[in-house]
Amino acid sequence: MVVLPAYNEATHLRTICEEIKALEFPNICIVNDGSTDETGHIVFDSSVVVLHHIINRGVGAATDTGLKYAKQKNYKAVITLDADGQHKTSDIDVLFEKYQNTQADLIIGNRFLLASNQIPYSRKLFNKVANIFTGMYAEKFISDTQSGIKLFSEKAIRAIQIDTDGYEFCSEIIIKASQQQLQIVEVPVHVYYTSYSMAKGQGLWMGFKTVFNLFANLLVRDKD
Amino acid sequence: MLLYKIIVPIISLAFIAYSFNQYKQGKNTIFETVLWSMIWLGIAAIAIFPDFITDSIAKIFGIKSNINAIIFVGLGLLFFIQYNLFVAIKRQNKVITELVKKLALKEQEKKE
Repeated sequence: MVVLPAYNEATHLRTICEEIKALEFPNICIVNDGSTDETGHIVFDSSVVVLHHIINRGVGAATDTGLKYAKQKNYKAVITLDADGQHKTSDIDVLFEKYQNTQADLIIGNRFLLASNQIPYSRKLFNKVANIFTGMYAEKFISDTQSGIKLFSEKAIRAIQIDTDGYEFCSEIIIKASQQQLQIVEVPVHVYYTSYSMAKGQGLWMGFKTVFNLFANLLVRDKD
Repeated sequence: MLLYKIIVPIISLAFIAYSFNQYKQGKNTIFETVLWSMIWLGIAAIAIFPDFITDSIAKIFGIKSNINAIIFVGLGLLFFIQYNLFVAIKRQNKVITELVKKLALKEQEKKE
């Protein structure tokens, strides 16, 4: 199943869903994260499930809702990707192929392994900081910890519970996967930065906020 | 007698009464009520005996001047309150997120 966390993504959502279906991945779950545009009102066919967050909680929370749904429905693998059009949807095939070959638990689409990707300097810088920070906690170095395109095996879906709401969930997933000794691998993926996706993703300021939130979350753990 | 020696204890007493009232209404725990009462009693005591108390605090902590001692204790208290607020807000956020996730899944379950 493909999970698309979406907050105000009405402009891209239909196109992305059609592209995913064309790749013969018929099961799509959109998590409308309290959007204020038309995202929640787009009509899809019955193969697309739309879950609605009544208020905006962040991409981490939306991804977790999608994973929980997949767990309920006993899906064997879940691919998550950003719904802002920054990913090449055909990279889903690359992740799935890697999964079939390696049976890895967490496959991360690495944006830095393809020389053709034009990644803004601010994103590169933030990613480096996040990689170091995540590596310190996970005790495993991943060179693109903040990538939005990932594959979770059934074991990973069941083992990882996302507690953070925002972008810091990317690091949280790696830390938890590493702590539970799940196999993590990376594959090269394409990325397209447009003014639209730049406005949505993690800028430098958002990056600092993400690192702070992750740090705070690791520092102050709740008693569940 | 200086005016603040009257006003500060009166304000402190009002806040202590408010804390106990909150406790009676079930809005505060006994721990919170006692803690706040002690803080306000401390403030009232400093207003009534400023030199004796601040000099004692400075001596206990080995701080040279009594003004510095008050600033350090005040800062410590503020950080403690800030930390508690941070934990409380974080917990509330987590509860809200869990509720939103559960509602989304429940709604879908109903549709199916």
